[in-house]
Amino acid sequence: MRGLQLPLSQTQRIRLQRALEKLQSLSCKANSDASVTVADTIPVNYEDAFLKGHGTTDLNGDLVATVCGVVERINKLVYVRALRARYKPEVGDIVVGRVVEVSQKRWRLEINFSLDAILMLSSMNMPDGIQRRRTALDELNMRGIFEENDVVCAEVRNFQHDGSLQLQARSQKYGKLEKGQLLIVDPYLVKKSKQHFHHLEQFGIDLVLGRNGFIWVGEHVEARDSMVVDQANSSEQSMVPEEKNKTHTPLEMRQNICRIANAVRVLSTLGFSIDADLILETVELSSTVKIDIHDMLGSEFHVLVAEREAERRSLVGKRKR
Amino acid sequence: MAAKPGSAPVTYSPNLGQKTRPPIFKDNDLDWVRPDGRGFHQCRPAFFRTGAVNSASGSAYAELGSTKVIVSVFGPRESKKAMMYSDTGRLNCNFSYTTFATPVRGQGSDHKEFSSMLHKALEGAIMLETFPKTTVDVFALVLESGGSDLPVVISCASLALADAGIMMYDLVAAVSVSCLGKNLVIDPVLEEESYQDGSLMLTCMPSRNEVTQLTFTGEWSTPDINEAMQLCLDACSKLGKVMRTCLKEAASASQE
Repeated sequence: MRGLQLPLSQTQRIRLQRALEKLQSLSCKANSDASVTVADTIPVNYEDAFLKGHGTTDLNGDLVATVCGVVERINKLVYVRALRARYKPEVGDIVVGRVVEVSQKRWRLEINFSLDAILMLSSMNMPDGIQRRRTALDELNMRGIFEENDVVCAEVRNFQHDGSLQLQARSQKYGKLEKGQLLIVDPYLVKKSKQHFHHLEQFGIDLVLGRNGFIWVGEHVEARDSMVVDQANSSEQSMVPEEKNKTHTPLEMRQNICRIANAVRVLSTLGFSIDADLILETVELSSTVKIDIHDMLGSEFHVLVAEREAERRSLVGKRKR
Repeated sequence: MAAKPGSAPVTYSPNLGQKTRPPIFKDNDLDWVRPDGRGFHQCRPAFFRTGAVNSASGSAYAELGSTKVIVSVFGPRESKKAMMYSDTGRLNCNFSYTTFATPVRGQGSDHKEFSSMLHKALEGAIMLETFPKTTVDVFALVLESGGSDLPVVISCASLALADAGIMMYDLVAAVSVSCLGKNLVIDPVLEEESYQDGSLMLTCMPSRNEVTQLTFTGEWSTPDINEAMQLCLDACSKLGKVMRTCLKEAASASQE
């Protein structure tokens, strides 16, 4: 079942309810009369000129909603923002996807969108870093770069005329993601920010927050700068990836990955926006309370996180005033 | 095939004037008492809940009396069949029973006929042009069959579609009426369905007052048809209100 379906004891239930009520009272968008279901009329002043946006339609002169959601008004535009919908991509978004198919000169990636995204071979940097025309040999060796079920990080390049998405992975920070966990959360929880790649130094872990709701938590990989590579080093570095495959991820690193992944899961169950600071605070909370990694998904930790978030937001609110 | 010269050609024609099945209620004064003690024009109390299936884009669970169904909606997503570019999206419906749904353990196969009826009921309400080149999959599973399965599934499916955020003209509510002798019985149970002389299933969009599907089986007289359709339309509008409150509760619960 969706939502919080944890076995909560009576006291935990009361604490959680109080924390959630506090959060609701603090949130500035508490206008519950703006929520509409399908075929509800939207209250609009018909004398003003207004634009009908997404999720609305005209029925006998009335403005009627076509999805369940919240009515948003921006200047003259009236639209309904659906509560649970697929990811809506924008050009320049960073997304994480899984390879579904390897076809002619392109890879098809599954991102949480209605269509699969396409990553062209020409939008991908070659392993040796040299900029050149892709030959037939490159096309035959596509599987050496990405295979099916690989996790890839890329950027949205543009939309094609039929609505499908084209991605590019032109710099070193994009590409195949290895040695980690992929988490799937709701897309609206990841907001657009300046930094989507986070390197958590104290754990040695890379965190990639894809805007489509796919979040990658993995061991830190040094991003090689292709401009610095010269001929002498290139032969050495080509051997390094093979050695890396043989190295074993140490137990402590795996525990850190699991701890961070569980923190993201807890935040997504509670419905809080996910950003790196919040994840770090949640992980610190879990270590101060000395809770076991698998206990993090239990009811007590959920209640603690909700309470701490309510306190944090009330403090922020007080500071603003 | 060799016919003797001069003999009449062999023909085949149906025998008119012979009823195929004698009516069950021969006695016009027979009164039917409903097994669960409802009035003839009383529907079962409806329970709806969205968000039943975590992994689906949208899902809903409906329980009317002993009829329990779960519908999950996936999409809009890409599908191999939708490779040709089309201006409108595709709707793909699948209706299946579990093996433990009927009192006698069955095969659990999926019903092609019910699947296509579900498709016809829903396609009028969904705005297919909002998701071109993609497919919306609707999977309906009947956990327990307690009578009027298809109408419950249709209502539950429209809730699941609304939960998935797919644009629709209106919610779709469906109700069926059974004709038992001279009585019209709304929302029949399994026992009543097995004794019925005729049935009517009406699927409509309550706020728009438009009917998306109408299915008649059996023998009906014209005044009965009118009365049954009026009953169905009333019941559908009431069911539509119940579905709307369910969606509003789910929406207000998830808003932080």
